[in-house]
Amino acid sequence: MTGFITKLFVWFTLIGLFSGCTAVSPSAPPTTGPVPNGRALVIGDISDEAAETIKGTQPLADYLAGQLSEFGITHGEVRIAPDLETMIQWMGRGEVDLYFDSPYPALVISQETGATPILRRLKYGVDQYHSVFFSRANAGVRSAADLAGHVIAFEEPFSTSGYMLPLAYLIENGLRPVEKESLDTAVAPDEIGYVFSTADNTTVQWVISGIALAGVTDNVTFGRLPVDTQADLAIFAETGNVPRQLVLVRSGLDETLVAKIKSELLAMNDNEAGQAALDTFLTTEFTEFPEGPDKALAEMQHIYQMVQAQK
Amino acid sequence: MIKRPWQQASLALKLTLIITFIVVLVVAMLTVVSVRREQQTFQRELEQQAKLLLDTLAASGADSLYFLDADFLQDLMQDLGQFDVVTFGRYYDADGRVVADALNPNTQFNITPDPFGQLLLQSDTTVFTWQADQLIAGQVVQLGAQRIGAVGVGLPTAPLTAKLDALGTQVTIIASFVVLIGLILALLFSRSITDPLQEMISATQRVREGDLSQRLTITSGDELALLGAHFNDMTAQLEDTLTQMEAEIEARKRTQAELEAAKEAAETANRAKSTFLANMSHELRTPLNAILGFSELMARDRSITPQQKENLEVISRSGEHLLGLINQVLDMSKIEAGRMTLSERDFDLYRLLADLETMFQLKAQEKKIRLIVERHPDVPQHVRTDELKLRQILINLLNNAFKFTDAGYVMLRVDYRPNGAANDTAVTPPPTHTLYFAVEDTGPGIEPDELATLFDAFVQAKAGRDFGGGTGLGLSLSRQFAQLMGGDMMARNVKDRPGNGAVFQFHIQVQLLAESSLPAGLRQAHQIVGLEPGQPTYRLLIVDDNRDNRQMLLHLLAPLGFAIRQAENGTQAIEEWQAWRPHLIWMDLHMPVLNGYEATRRIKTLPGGQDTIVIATTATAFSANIDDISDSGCDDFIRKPVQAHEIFETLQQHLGVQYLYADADEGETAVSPALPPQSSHDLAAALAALPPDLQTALQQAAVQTNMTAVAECLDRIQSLDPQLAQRLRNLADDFEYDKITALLPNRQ
Repeated sequence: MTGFITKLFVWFTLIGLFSGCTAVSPSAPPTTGPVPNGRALVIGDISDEAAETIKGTQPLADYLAGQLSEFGITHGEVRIAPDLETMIQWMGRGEVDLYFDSPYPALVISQETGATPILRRLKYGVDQYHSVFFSRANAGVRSAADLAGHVIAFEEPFSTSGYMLPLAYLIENGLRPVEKESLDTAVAPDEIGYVFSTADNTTVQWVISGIALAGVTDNVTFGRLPVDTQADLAIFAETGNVPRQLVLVRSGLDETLVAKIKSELLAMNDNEAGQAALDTFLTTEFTEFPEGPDKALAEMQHIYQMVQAQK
Repeated sequence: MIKRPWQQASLALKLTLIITFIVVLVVAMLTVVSVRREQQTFQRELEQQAKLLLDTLAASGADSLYFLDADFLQDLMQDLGQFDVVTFGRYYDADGRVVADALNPNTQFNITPDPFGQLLLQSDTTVFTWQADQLIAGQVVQLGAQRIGAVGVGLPTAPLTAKLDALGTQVTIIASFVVLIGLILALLFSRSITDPLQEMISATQRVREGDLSQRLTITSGDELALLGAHFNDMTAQLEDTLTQMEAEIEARKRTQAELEAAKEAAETANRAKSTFLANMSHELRTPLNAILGFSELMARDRSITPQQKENLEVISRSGEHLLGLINQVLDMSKIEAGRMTLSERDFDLYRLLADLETMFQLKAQEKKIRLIVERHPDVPQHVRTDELKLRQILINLLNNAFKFTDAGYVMLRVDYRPNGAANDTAVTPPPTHTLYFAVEDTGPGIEPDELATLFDAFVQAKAGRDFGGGTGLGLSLSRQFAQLMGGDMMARNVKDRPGNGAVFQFHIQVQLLAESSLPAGLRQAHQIVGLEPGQPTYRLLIVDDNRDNRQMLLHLLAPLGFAIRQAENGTQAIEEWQAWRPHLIWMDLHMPVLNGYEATRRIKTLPGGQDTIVIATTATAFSANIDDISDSGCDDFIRKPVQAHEIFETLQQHLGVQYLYADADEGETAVSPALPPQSSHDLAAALAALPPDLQTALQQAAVQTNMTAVAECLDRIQSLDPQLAQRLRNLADDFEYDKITALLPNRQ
């Protein structure tokens, strides 16, 4: 929130600075139209940038709603929750029908609301990912065990790759991760302190800047680092893969509707409108769980329980 | 001198260019200054914008930078980059590593610190770096005393450039407009100066071409208008002056025409007078020659009675007197016509004085008055001047003195005053000196009221009138002669009142002669003692019916070594010539049996006769018989009584005799001076040797008795044959133009 306000402040400042220098192209007037009556298919998301998120998700909502008219669904909606707690409430109340997220928050919502993962979402074409533990190459860290007594950087509490997977890894390896308030907080020798950086980039920056001995991010993020940067860093541990994102449907949703939704999602890249909606949604496609949903979910449930037990 | 193109340009062009150049220069300077100031202003503004942005980013990202929230910082930078107003945007961590980049995310996550980031971390103030297309600015982000990082942005200078371009365009347009205005004003200004000047130039040109009616109308009210007004005044004055001058010129032309007419009339009258005088001279002299000649011949007749002889003497004297009067009138006419010239010659002044004394001694004895001739010891003996005129003056004055003096004395005093180097007689040309003469008598003197007009022509004093006779020209002529010889004449009474006698004083300028420059005639009178050895024995035949004349020549020439024979008449002369073949014959013209004319003619026609020099000796004082002398074949003539020096000069001239000289002797023979010998044969030959055109001109002038033309011809002849010129001048002075034409070869 603070960051959002800060950004707004910066925006206004920039506008004020350069309003006389640049030809400010008039922004396109917001499109307005009659509020449709009827039932909506609501897709929910958690984001600080509501407008951006809605912009990227609305086409998907509209597309699906268009395919679900037989169910009395007349339109699609996108609702942005500021945090996970709010989404849990919304899905619990049935105010959100679909939700897309990485496994950990999806499992939390599933656990709390009974929402059901039905498909995988290949975001940016990534069907699965895992976490990597990295440090500066000259830091001398060769394994996770070398992290004892140090503070490492996780992303955020509800990050799959930035929290759930690495935490489970440490636990499974008999290490004792402990959340710390700051990077300067003392860490017991048998502890591995971790601090949430709130963002993968920040995690990487902390490690590069040397304020954190190591950090954890997903392999995709790490793979996007400059080659030279990667050469200066070293991955000393990696977790197993999990789906990149899950598609949750709320509980209580008609099974037929759920099946319809599922089938439509699976067929979206078969048509131009669906593909367009997928592109806007930064999604390559939706797929079934290769090992079957139960097995995939069972593994994720195991990891989830492990992490929950640690809290 | 080669002119540069700038120098050849018109004033209008120069002014226009100069003013335009100044305007352009000023406008350019102002433009540059203006643009520069705007550029600096824009730069300051851009820097201020950059600073503001940096401060904003620093403030905005301080917390995130502190926590190294790269994600937020990157979002911030990406948002910044979306505006396309920055060309560069970065956050740096506390070591200078790029944490976030607005345009190039690949710069993130670089372990190696960025140099610019490190620079910013080391700077206490905002760092501005102007690049070609952007302003890079950055500053450290400091929280408290801790430098947590830095932020840098880059702002494009394109807007600034665009602004400056727009400003430059505007300024250029304005400057061009100003230059155009300046050019127009320059043209107008230069025209305001050059147009009036051009008008002046055109007007001046027309004035130069003669149109003085040009007037300028310059109404500018400045200095040009004043110049135009002065120009108008000047041309008006010039016009008036020119009109006056034209009137004066016309008047002068008329006067000139009148003068030309008067001159023509005067010249016509002068020519008429000269013709008249020449004719009258001939008409008067010819019968006089006959009268005098025949009276002389008759006087030689031994059969005449003493009374007849006396009568003939009266006739002769009367004729000579009449001849003298005629000569005086002719001389005065020549003086009035400006044709009187000096015939300078070298002569013995002592001899002249002695001759005069001898001449007037008889008269003094007759009137029983004393004749006193006083000569200052310093008076030089040999001088050069016009001897004849000096003689004439002295004779006139002495004649007057004896005429008007009945008792007492007549005194002639001669004094000398040297001018300059008197003792250096070898100076060339010889210096002039002054001889002073005074004739004093004890006659009645001159009435005081007559002294002023005494020397006027045709004016006689009372005494002169009382005594009768004369033309009244004598004193006038004498004074004219004295003035001609560089002096003057005056008269006064003795004791400055009548009754005690009169004194006539005059002075003339003479040249002294050095011994070495004395003519042979003068030198030989002192010095000739014989003939130089190595010469042939010159055979001289003296032909004269007068024994005394023969003896004189015999005694003069024989002692020197000449071979002498004598003859009494022309027949004997021919016989002697045939027998003896003399080199030279002194031929008297008037002899019984056969006169000298015929004898000479016959001798000259005989074989070898042309080789004998015949010198005619004649007692007549006229030149009227020169034709006869020349026609007879005589080579030269001398007048009797002859002077020894003339004899010696004639022998030297015609035979080339070289004499031996000794110191001067005393008691030289006094002979009366005579005119220099003239040979009509020589004259004719000399005239024939002149250029044909000069002969023709001289003949025409003589036929027309044009004194001026004759004088011009004589001036030309002077440069060719000075002796011939002098001889011809003598003839012209005597108005003997017919003689001159007779001597000239027959020409068309």
